[in-house]
Amino acid sequence: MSHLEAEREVEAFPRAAVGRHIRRRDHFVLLLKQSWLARIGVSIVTIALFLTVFGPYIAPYDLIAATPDIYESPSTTHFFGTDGSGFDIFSRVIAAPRYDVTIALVATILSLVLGSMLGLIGAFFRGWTGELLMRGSDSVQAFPLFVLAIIFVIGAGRSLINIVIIIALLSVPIFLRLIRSEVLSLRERAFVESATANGSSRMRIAFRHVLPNAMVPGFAQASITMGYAIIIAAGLSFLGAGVQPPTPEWGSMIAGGANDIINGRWWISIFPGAAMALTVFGFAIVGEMIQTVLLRRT
Amino acid sequence: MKTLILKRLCFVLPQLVLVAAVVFVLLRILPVDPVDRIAGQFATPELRAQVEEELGLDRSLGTQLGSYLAGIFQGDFGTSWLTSDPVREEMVERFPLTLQLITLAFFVALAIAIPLGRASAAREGSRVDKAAQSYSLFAGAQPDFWWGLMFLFLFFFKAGILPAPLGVLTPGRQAPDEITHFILLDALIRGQLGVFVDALRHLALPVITLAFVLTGPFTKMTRQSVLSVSKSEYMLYADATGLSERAMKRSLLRNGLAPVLTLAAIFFGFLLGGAALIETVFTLNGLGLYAVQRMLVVDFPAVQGVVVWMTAFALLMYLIMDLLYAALDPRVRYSE
Repeated sequence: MSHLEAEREVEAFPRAAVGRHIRRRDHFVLLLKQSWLARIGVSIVTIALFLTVFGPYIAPYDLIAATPDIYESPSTTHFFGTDGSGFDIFSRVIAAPRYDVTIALVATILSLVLGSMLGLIGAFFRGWTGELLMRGSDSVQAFPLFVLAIIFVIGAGRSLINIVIIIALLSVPIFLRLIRSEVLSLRERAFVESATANGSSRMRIAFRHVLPNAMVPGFAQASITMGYAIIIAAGLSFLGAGVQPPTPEWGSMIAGGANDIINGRWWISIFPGAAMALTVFGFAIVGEMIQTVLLRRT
Repeated sequence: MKTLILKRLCFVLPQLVLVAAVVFVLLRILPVDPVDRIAGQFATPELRAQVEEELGLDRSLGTQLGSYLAGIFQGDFGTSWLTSDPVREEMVERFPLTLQLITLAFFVALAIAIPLGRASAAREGSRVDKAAQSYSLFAGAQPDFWWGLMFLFLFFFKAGILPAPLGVLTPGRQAPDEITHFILLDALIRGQLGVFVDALRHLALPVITLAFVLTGPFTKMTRQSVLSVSKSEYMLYADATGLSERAMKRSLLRNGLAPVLTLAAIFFGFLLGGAALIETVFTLNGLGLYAVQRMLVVDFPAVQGVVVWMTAFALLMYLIMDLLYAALDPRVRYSE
């Protein structure tokens, strides 16, 4: 075993977990200091999460009550202008993460948990159970997924729960594959062998030793999936197959202003879209950051 | 090679049947009631029963599914509940537009992403590399339908150089007589250059929008893949044996491009339906928009047809890409 390999084994060893943690955090701080892109990403995600919690409370105008000002361009009274119903766009843009980010967050967590469990099962039971799982997840990928989401949401009813369910289900295969391949490589490592030699049960090894190590790439993917989930949720409501207007939600706000844009009233669609595009970008950067930190570690 | 094709074809058929069955059953277990929609909420029980019989919904689920699958194998996708036209004909009218849109977007995206990814990999760690990486991260995380609207505002409203988003031809302009159903091809075959240019101008913005979003993942994949190939031991060996620069570049590109093609195939399959957003923005009467519109009016045969059709096409694309992969990468070819 070369020096480098030995070091890697020590790092993966659970007892070194505390040390590893600090080092990972150091990498994160280092990345923040070095890269302006990383700083932008972390700031965007922080703001998005802040608005998810407080957005509706700090909005200056009522979210679904019309003001007398119709089609007003951006001004100091209405920062982002108003739309054809007289809604204040700024208030609605900063309140929208309550819907968009929450849908994406819940869907991503659900698919991460479900995908990790199935991935773990797929890796530890490589007989027909694992085979069935992999074939099943392959078959999901053969579907035109966006059309499937539209069918499900319109058919089952345009509720938040249904939107979350379908986005979560469609994202499970990504996590399943990722965690499975991660677990397959981890279980060949020395610390698993030593745990086996200690007489740990298969369950204990799977949940205490292998899964925690496999989860880190899972978190990186989760941040990226968050972004896609926001796009899909907004895309569904853009098509009229998602959250119903006048709910303050980015996709339906963009749809509401789509016909105005060719008449020059750009502010109705552009602000919600820009907020959404930034948010998705932010989550993509953070996902990339986690991956970079991982690469530096090994 | 032959066994590879045969093996894959053996998988395609059951997958297709499975997808058809799942969509068929899903549509019928979801709580939308097509009879309600078609007969109206206040219909008498007799009228409801009559509609149910006309739609074939009075038979058991198994019988319905059986006759649907049997129909598909004879190329019969059923009759639309909205228009009473054969679903197959409606799809044949709309699919070529989606296919032209996506194919053009893929060519544009690959033409930008491959050189960019290569340049980025060749100067790893440089400013060019960092800029390219930031760009690909940004473009890959963008909502295409919103960018479509942005481009419309800029190029139609502000600059006035591209047409309004009202279909693929200027209203009033006669489409060429159909031969291939692909409007660009038909216009060329008929020698109607004006129609060709008009269609191209209408397709320009949707193509640019899709291509912009696609360059993100494609650039990233090209960079990663070229990097990992150039650092591989077989390239080191090739260098050590004194292979010429050109020969090195050729094998770098061949092996580096294979994963990009696989990724492209996956995105292609997704975009068949995912293009519905862009088609909505530009009022292009493609297959994605068709699926959305028909689901909103509970036209089950049309929706089923689209899903089966798109799946079949996506599986065909995967097969073609796998064959291309094998042709490009000798390791795949010899391990089969």
